[in-house]
Amino acid sequence: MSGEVDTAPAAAADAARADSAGAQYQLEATGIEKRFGGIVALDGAELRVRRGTLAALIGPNGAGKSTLFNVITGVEAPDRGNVAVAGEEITGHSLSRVAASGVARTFQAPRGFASMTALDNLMVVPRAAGERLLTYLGPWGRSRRIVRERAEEVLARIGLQDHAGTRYEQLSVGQMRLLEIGRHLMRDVSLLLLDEPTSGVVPSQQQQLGMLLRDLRDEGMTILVVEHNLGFVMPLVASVSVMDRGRIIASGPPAAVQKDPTVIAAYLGGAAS
Amino acid sequence: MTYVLSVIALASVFSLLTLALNLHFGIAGLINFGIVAYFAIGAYTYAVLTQPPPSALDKYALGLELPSSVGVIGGIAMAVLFAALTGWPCLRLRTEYLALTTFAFAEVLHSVLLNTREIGNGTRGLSNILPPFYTTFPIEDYDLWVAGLMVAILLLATIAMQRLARSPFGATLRAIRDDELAAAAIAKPVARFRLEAFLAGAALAGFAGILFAWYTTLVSPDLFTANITFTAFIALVIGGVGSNYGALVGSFLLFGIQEAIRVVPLSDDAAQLLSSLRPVPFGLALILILRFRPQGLAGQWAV
Repeated sequence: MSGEVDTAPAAAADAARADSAGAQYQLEATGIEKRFGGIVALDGAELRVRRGTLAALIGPNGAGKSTLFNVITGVEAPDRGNVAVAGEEITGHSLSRVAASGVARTFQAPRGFASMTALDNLMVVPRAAGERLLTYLGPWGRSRRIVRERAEEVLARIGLQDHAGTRYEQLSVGQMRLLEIGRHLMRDVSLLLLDEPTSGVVPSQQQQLGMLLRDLRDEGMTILVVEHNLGFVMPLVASVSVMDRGRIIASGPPAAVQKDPTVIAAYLGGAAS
Repeated sequence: MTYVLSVIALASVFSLLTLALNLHFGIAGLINFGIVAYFAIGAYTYAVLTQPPPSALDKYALGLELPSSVGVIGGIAMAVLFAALTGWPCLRLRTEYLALTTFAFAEVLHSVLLNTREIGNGTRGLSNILPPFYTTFPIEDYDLWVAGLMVAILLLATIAMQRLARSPFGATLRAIRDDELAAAAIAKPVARFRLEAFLAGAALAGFAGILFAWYTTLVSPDLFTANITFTAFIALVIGGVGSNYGALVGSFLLFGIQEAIRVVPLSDDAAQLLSSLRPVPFGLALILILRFRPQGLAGQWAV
């Protein structure tokens, strides 16, 4: 239980610490169950991420990692279990409501606004003057300029300053993934959930991504990464949770988890099947 | 001259309807196959509010003889109300289902207007509608004034829609159209934005319906069929989906061609034959546009 990410099979020990836990964990998902017809995707998954840390969630294909993300962010409703962010219950809230409470997520296949430029993809994010039907005729030019400056800063931060006018569709997959994170930097976010951020991304951009994530953590953001690319994720994170068949089977510092026999078995079993 | 003015007036009315459709479909990505319903509600409400009380021959129940300004406001308000009633359940549906339900609502409305005499005199319709500013505009140049009024309204509406499309409100609508999940992930309340766009578009469609009632001075069920919806869709595709200027270009082109064909002098036999071929050029134009210029003639001005 000393790792940054804890799994707590013992509910009693858990309850004893519940009071302090709300304060120290940015994300707590407990007892999550989710079935799709006869398939059990999540079977009592427990995941906690300490505030201000970088953590990873790994596991073989089909382990339920993306489903767990979907349940946490309200894309899917859980059959059972609770999700809390910064001690506040958000179970069953819609994606936009979860997002409004400071949670950001990216998707396994990057998503964005295809008809817009990279800059507009960022500028659309903040709740701005003139964003409602009844205010659109009013003066929104000044607030728009402030948003634009902010968007240009974020573009520079994610290294896309030369692509401000590029249409989203014309960006590379790596640029799309960076822009997806960039959109969340345009708003107040305390928890960032990334679904396979390095897939389809060239090594130089992976390095840039790693640096960005470290910087964001240093600024106080809590980050959880689902990743297959262990070479990228292991040196980056303080703690790892391993998922298999809808459950968290191990968690702790990367070095310890990598030696865990259950983890090795799960990965070999996963590879064999 | 009078004929040309009347074509301009009619094309302006349909441009307004196509602008409304562009807000729904082009900007917000809502497939509304029942936009004729909001057009009809505007026209019928205007008629009921402004026409004289029924005489012995009329079967309609209500004629309030109110000023036309009340008719305009009431017509738009009813279109918005109908949009709120139909939009609330429909907008939760995915695109194809939204298309089907809006189409169904429009057919139901058509059926109701056709079969209830109390609202709109059933199949005979309401024919006591006065054209706009009948006593204000000089009678000798009346057609010119009406065409001018319609064009002026169209220009104001185009400016307003262009401003909307470029505003943060329009940007959020386009974001939702492009990727609903990504929009929700940045905390946009998707359903609320869709409803707002739906209501605004319905208001404009209702206003277009009022102008149509001014133009025809008659509303009857056979004027408000699915044909109207598809004419607006064709005009929008020709002009460019997502482009407000495209809505104007498409509508004027469509009506220009249609009416130009009408004045070609022909023998009776040839006229009969050709009149049944009238839809052909539109089908052909649509195919050619989709094949060679899928973004539409004015697609480069899409916001």
